[in-house]
Amino acid sequence: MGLENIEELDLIFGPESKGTTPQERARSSSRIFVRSQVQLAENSPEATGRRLSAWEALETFGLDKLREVFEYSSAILSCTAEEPAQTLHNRREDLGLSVKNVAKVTGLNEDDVENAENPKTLTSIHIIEKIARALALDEGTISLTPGANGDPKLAMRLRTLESTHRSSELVSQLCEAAWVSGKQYELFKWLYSSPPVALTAKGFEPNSNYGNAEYPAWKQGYWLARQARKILGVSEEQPIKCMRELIEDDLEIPLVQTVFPETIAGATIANGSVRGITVNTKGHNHNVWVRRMTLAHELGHLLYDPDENLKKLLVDQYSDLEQAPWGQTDYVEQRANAFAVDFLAPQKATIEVFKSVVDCSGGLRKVMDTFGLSYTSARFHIWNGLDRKISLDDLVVDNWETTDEWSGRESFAIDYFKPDSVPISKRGRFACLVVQSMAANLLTEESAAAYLGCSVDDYRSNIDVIRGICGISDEIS
Amino acid sequence: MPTRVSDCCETHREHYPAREPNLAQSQDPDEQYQVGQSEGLFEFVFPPIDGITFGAPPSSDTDIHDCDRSKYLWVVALTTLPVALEHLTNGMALKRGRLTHTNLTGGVDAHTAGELWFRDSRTVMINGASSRYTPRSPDELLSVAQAIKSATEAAGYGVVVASLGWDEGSNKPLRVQTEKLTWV
Repeated sequence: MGLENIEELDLIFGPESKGTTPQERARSSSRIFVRSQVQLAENSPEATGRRLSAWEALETFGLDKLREVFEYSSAILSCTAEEPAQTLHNRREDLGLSVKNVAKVTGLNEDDVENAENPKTLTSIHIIEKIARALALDEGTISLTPGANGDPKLAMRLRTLESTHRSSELVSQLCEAAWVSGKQYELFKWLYSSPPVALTAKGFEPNSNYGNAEYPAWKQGYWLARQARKILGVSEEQPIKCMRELIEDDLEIPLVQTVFPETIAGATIANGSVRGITVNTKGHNHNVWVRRMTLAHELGHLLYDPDENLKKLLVDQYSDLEQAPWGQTDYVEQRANAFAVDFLAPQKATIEVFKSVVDCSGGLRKVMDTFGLSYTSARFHIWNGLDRKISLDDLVVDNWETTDEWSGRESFAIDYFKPDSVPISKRGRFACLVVQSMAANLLTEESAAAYLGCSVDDYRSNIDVIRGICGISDEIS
Repeated sequence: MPTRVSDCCETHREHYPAREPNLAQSQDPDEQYQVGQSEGLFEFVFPPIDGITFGAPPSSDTDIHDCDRSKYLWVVALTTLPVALEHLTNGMALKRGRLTHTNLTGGVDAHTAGELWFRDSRTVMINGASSRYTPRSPDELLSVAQAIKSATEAAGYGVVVASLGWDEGSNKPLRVQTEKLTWV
């Protein structure tokens, strides 16, 4: 189908849109489309489907489908009569989730979920999208593409999670985290017209050295931590002020903070080609110094574990993270633990800070305050740095609590977020990209609210709060 | 003497006034060229004319091309109800390669338009897919299906008639067979 003549671009994107390519036109178009389970059309007030910007419609469905809208008054989206029912059913089964599980996590009733999986039934696109997101599918391409771009390897990993970890609750939460990571990557690409800079281009190469009998994995972890600091231009004495910002803003890695079952600390998760970190805000991570350790540990995995070790999913329990690096028997975890502690607090600088205070307790607390290091980690790190020449029993403090300054920096984006109806997993950088994308005319208000999981009214009345948290000025937006 | 479906559309015409075609998407001047009988146009009557091409509406995007070969366009025009295969079989050259609804009217005012399949000699299925004379409501589309059914009864020629129905999500007539398909 040849097109892209001016008249046709005017027709599809409106004569007020600017540019010579469909992409340029879509970015400046005020045209709104609306989709249902089976069709795409130009928006009308009576339509009950999902309203999409011209950009969303073009990126999701392609130019031929938009042309079809104007030729036939609507475009057919369903690729087969069985879609999207088959994709939703198969994916749920692949993940090992029941209809009841999906209904619970989406807030829908079981009939809605069953109807969506019935190819003979037309279901509201709003319901279909909710289910698709909960199953880590690309809700945009649902109906249009069998499988809706779901990552089959992720599904397999989630289905075969170790029995000690596995629960339908955790699988659902990891699916949500995978969806957020994938969508964050997509929004970034839309906003900046290119994907985030690859970690390898920043200088982080996967490292398959996990040590040997003479050179334990934890030593390699320390070495990698020093390399990482060098690449990031952070000196040995400098504390990492905010792990959240470093991961999200400097390294452009999707970070999902969420509420996992109590024993789970965090996970690295790959959805397609997108690798992200997800961290529990509950349990021991409620203390942001512990959370920083978890984040640094996951970062160690993500920066340096080769694909065969990272696989598609790596779930870490608090019990794994809270051991001294040399106490961890799994060499992959041992290296990540050592990376985490030395990345946050390089050993030489740690000992200098410790020795700057006369008493052990004061020195320990100063190390915690200086580097934002958890009590357990700081104790072992100092003890090891002093070649275990002092008693571990002397390294104790009464007060393990973090300071407000550290807590504020790490938790600001989630604690002060509005509206409250937005789940923790969608706060932070993800929410900022959503708001920026809407301001750039790439998303409708309805899409923005759907991505954040809140109502349009809630979104509208709190958009200034989100902008403030994200530091987005009106001028920029 | 065949019964003209158009003669059963007077109530429809009263309820759903004629309007100018929406030509916003018109690309080529020949989209308003009035085709004639020699080019495949015929008046919709029962019993149907000889030589009808049989087929069924699509169920999805995958079978749309197969279904296109048997797809007729229909228009409730001011005094007629012309019908023609969308894809011309006589080799006539239109720039877009197929008919549009304004080729059935010459670009003048009309009431309602859509697509039609003769699934067999006794089954007619319609939808309201037209960018030029789009049905304005679900009732407008259903009204045409009922008028066709009335014509079959007046002709004493037993035919079942179905409308593909309306998609509330996109607020447009459905172009594929779904649970919304309604036999009148």
